[in-house]
Amino acid sequence: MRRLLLTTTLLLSAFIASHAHAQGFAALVSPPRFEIGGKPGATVRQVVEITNRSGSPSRYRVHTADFLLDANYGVTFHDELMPDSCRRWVAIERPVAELPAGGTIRYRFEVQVPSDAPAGECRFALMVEADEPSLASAGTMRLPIVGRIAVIVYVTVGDAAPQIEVFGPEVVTYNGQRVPAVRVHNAGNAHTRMGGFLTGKDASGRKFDFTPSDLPILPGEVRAVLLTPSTADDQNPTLDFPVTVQGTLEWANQSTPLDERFK
Amino acid sequence: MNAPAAHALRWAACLCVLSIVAVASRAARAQSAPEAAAVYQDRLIGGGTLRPDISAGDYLSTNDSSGLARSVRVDAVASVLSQQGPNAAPTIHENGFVADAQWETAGFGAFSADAAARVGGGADRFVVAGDDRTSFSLHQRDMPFDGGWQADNALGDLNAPLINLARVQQRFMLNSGTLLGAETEWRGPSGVQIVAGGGEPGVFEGIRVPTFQTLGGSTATLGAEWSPAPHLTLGGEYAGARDANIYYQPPTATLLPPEVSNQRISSDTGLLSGAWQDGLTRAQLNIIDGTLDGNSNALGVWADGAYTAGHYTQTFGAFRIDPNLAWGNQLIASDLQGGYYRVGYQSRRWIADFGVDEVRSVSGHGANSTFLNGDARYQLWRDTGIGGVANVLLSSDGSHHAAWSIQGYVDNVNSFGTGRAQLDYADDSQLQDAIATLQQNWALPVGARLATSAGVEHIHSEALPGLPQADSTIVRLAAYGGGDLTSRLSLDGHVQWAQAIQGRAAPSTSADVNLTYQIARSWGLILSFYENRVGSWTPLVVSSPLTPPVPVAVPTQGQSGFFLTLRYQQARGSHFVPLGGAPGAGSGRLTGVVYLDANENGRFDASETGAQNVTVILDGRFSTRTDAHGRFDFAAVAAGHHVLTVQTDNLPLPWTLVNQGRTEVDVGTRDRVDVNIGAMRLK
Repeated sequence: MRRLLLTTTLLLSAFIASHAHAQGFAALVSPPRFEIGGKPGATVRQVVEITNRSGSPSRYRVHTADFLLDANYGVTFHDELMPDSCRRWVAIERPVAELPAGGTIRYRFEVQVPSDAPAGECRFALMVEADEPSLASAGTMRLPIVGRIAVIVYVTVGDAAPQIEVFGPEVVTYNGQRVPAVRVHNAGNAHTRMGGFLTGKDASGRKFDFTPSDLPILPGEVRAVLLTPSTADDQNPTLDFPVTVQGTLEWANQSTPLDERFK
Repeated sequence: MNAPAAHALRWAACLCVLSIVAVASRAARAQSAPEAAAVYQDRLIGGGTLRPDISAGDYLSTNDSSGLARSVRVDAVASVLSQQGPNAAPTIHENGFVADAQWETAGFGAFSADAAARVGGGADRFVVAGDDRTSFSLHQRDMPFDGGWQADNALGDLNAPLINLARVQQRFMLNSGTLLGAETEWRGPSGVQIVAGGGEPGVFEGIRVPTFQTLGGSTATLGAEWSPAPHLTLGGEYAGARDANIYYQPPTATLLPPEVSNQRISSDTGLLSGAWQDGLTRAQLNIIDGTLDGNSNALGVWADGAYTAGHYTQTFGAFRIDPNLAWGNQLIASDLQGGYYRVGYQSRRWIADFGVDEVRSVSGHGANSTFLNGDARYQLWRDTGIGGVANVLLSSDGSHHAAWSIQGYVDNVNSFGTGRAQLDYADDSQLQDAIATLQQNWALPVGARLATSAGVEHIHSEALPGLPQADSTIVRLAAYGGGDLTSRLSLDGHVQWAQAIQGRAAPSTSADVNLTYQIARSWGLILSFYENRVGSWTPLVVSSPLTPPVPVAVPTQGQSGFFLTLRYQQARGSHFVPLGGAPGAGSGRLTGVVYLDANENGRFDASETGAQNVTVILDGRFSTRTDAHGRFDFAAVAAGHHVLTVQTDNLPLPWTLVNQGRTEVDVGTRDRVDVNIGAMRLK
């Protein structure tokens, strides 16, 4: 199911991205992500650069949105305020940016952290989208489409930090391959990404390096962190289970030893 | 999880941070706003009264997408510089024009041109024989012919060609040198390569307006190689020089006596080479034979091997090279025999290698040396790595000498960026040199970058006959960076400063700071401050005796002043046929720096310098030369996978690039990719 969703997402993205470009939505937005800190009572100001890479003037609608990551890391954006949304803290420069061909706007936005804001993480997306839909041809059909680019913003308030609990080993099937994974829970109040250096052997005695998947783990989430095997000669090996893995799992400024057997 | 799965996972991650989604607009709006009344209206900064900070658009955004891809850049440069030195004019000017262009043709391959010309009054920086006031090169690459043949041709100020077997050398470099002349290279079936070239040797000089100063004499080369069987390549090349100068000393400099600076050589040298390669396993045998200045025939033979298995790479070789050998007008390591062995290990946490060179003099007049080198880097945690380097050189030429150096460092990715703390110590029995350095590449908002370096160096020199014992303590500070001040105004620069706080040592400063204002699309104005004052000391470096001999590099006198540059640049046809692309392909921009990676950490640190006038080649077809910063810029590059290589001949010795600095890079549509290519000292 995960594979199907990812594949579908990729195909959709590839289809849409190419058509968005073909139909005139040609924007470059930088950076793709903000991970910044803010103190209660302080205002954090940032700039995102939006460049019109089309050959004609373009109008872009800019607004904030809340986002959710589903179990398969699919992302959905919500214009309405979600529970615990911090978008009321956010102010943007203007709702519509008009750019000449090739022009770049240094688009400003700010996050005013309330003085009584508890430690935690403010997350939202800054959406840049074509002001008017374009027409995409698919056979005889002509579909109106809107190109969008989302810049994800994480603002860590106060001393918010992730707190990871490792639940133990499991084996998941991913793209037809069985791979070891550890299920983790983020009991903290800020997101994190896993990393670390892990080595191990499979049932045939072959040695592998294992790389933890570094997808974001939001506060309160329970996620399976895949441990991707590789060797010096093979980036895509097939494991013979059971597999033993040792090393250190790392996140933020913390770490925990791992010594597990995956059956 | 297999590679595609991992790739898919990364894509999914990308979607979390930057997703381009498009859906049927009404459905999309409806989905993201299930109830119109619930749609949140964003607050506006200052009630929406902020004045937009918008650039006029750059030259890539041309509406002229007709025809094949072509781009051009022209700089008009004016300057005023003050100069220090015993024979230097107090005020000089470097005024003129600099232009480069690339264009694709349908049937004659891709062309690249570089040209510069000094104009106006005032003295040049140097006045040498011939007083050349221009530089020019025209390269044609990948001109197709029937039967699978392709040809590269070039005219102007260029590097004499080498067969590939001569370029792929593990320890002995055959630098071709720069010349004013012509060259041609033909490639055909069965790996056939034929090269020829010749002209008058010379050197580039200049800060913003590079000119090519010919030095008299002539050099020529002719070579060929082919693959008679799978995995096997054979080749040979001749290089000759007549009455050519091997030293370059501006007339205002006095470091070399005239009998040395005017020394000219004639040489005839032939190379035969054969290589066998299967995957990452390679063996190569080279035989070089020739005469220098009418001396008796000299012979050189060396064999190299390389073997990679798993995490380990081993290279080894043996050599015997008679005295009095040269390659054209370029010195090569000669009068030595011995062997070397290196083993390297690389994994996710470890990068380590160890090497030993054993070198004896063939004639008995030179030194016998043993050089040991080891370096290792271990990734302690995701954000922290430690490492060290050790070099030991034992030599004897009647008496025994020992020199050694050690280095230790900690790399750390911190909340401010990436930092390094480093300690160096070197001792050659007459001089002890200790350096403590802190470096930081700062994490800054979009459009800004900054790397800083601060160090303290203490030099202790023993008393020598006629000279007293002396100590000096020097403080070094450096910064490299820049950013967009507004959408039209940007600052970019590189500053290094060193000052003795104890003892007697001349200060060293260098600066190249550019303030760029975008007047309009395609037009820019650049105000630059430039300063270059070479100090009276250089850090002690312990290196292998196999390091190529360095022609005497005469430092210029110090200069400082201002440049004003009016720049025009234009790219056309790029939307439909970008450089290296297919019709309809998107394009991005590929920029970068070729730099001298002194601490070999793979990053361009503030205390390091760019390599000037080095040719960078995109996909083997399009070339450009680095500027005074070592920066290069391919403005409109097809989206997709590309390969950058660097013509290493213009790198200052003993710097070199492994595998010609081959760097593979993916450029996205409308993307800008920065690539830093670091040259390392030959070890």
